[in-house]
Amino acid sequence: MFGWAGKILRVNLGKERIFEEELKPEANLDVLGGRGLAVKLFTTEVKPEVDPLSSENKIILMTGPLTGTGVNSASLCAIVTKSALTQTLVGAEVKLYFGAELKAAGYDGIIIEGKAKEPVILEIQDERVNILPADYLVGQDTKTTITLFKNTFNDPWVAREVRVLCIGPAGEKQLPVAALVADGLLVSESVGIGAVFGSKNLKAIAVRGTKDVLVNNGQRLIGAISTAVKECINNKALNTFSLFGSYHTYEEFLNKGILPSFYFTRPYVLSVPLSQIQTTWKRKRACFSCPVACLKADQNGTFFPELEAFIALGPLCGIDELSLICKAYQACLNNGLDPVETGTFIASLMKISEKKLLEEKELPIKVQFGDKEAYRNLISLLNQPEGLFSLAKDTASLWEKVGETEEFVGIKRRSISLDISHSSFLALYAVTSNWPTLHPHVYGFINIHKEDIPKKVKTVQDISAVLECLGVCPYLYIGLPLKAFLPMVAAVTGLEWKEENLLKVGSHIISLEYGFNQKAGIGLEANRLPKKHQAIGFENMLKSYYQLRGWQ
Amino acid sequence: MYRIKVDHNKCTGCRYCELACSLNHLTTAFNPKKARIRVMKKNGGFFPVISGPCTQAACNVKIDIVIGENVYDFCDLCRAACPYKEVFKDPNTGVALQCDFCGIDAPGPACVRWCPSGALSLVEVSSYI
Repeated sequence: MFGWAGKILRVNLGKERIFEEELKPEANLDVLGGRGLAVKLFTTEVKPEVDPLSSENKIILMTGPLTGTGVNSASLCAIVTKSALTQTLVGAEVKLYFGAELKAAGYDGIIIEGKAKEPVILEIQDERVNILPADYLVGQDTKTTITLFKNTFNDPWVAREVRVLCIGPAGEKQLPVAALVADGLLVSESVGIGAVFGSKNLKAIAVRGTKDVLVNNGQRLIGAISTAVKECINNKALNTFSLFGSYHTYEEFLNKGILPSFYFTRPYVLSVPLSQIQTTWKRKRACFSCPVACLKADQNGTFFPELEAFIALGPLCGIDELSLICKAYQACLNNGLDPVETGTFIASLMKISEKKLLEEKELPIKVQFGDKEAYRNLISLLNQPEGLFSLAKDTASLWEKVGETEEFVGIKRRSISLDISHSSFLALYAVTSNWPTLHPHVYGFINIHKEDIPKKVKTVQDISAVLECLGVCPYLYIGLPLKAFLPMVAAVTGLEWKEENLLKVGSHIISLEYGFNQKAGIGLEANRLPKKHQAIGFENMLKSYYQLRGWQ
Repeated sequence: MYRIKVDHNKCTGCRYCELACSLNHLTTAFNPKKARIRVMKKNGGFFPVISGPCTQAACNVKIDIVIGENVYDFCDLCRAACPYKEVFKDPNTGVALQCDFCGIDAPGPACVRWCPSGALSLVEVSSYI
């Protein structure tokens, strides 16, 4: 069947053995591929009660049938594992070029199991798969890791085309707040996975592929893609998203009080206007085969923080200097730290210091809301992440340590940097997500009618899941409906899908993930808003959402 | 005569040109490594480079500087347009691939037609300067 490569790599790091396994797409049409297939394989192979940092935990990377085929924005590679932060299933999506390169190497996905004795790097170049020693990369930041690894190639052209997914020092120290970085871009929602990489002594995965990605009907696909690309370019909502990225609702959020500051003690008063943020963007960056190009970078190609990271590192800490925030964000990326968790941790330290909940000598560094000098010192402290996180390993633990758990703003131990109590839609979306997320493509739905919220949340979650299964970026849902992808799915795979059948796939995957979390001990009772951020009428909405899903 | 104009300031690095080129020549498969246009990244910017026509004169200004164990290539982008450069060789057969300017009719070759950012455009020039 076209679209799928039909092969999966199984890498046992402990035994240093690599197997090639056959993948039968026909047997997995209930989950398609990508996030769905990764979740299906993970839930059948791994026990829910497994310790995330033990060698029994596995990491599954999986591309979708459309990844790398040229379908617009089909660049995703899902990573599924049990998170070290939330103890739930977690699914991150690697963007840019990694997924397409893996598909071109002739593999749909990789299953990583066991634990390597020494730090290693997994290198895949078509059929040549090697587990290489990575002693020389230990302790190196993500940027240096990529450069040093690329320097090991004799051919500079080959080195350019290798795509590297790696962890930084934070991941090596197995901090729950560690995230992944792929080619200089933070892997979204990858918090909690960095530590799992670290626990397996897996420093990086490097991929380069030179094979053809075959499609069922090339002529039909050309027509379908041309139509879809034109739709993307002419779509008003997607144009706004292309222009502003995750900041497309910045001013609306500001008016509604969704943007907080000073660790949720007061609403954010505009000190960094959108026009100022825009002037720091010099370039639009796109992932593989994406006409939208929502990523923003400066002149040197350094990525600009997304809205949630910006709020966490800036206003929540009382900092309004854009260059400082960008510097802090870069330090997070270099050290493989999740910027939202890092920002909320620093802001929590500031609040603790202000309320004098801990004595000054107990704090790792002198901190104060809005103190730029102290903030600069903090940025340099991020280079030794274990120093900053010596007091507690994450924000939730920090508040537990000082005995004020109700002060923690987050869901299932994952911090959030938006004040979701002002938007029932965002609140329900974040609370009911199997791993707490607030994707930028859902920001635009905050104005829908209260009675429609549970149904809309379910639909958006299902559609996002389907798109991620296919390997398409869910952000496109801002402007393109699911049915716009049906002709492209048919042209690539040869299968004629109906929209309602695809939605059933999405619903099935969400239930699979939920079932795993429930068995892992994180069921419906964990679906709670932060104590101090309750939304009006939220319980009723939650009930009708559960009814729609059929959850008890 | 028509030529492809490249505005690297507009390029977002989506590599649709590579995909379009490979699909146009392979008809039922995508493979950016077999494209006759490749997007190079240099100092944070992207430069689409087309595998150009061969000239009679061999390149005689190639400069490689060796520092320590590393070889630094100082003709990166310019010479990349040479179809005999590794990056433009078919990864399976080693055959040098060259732009054949597919589809002279408007709106132009596959890469130009597919470029969503407007970095590639077809322009008419009177002749070589």
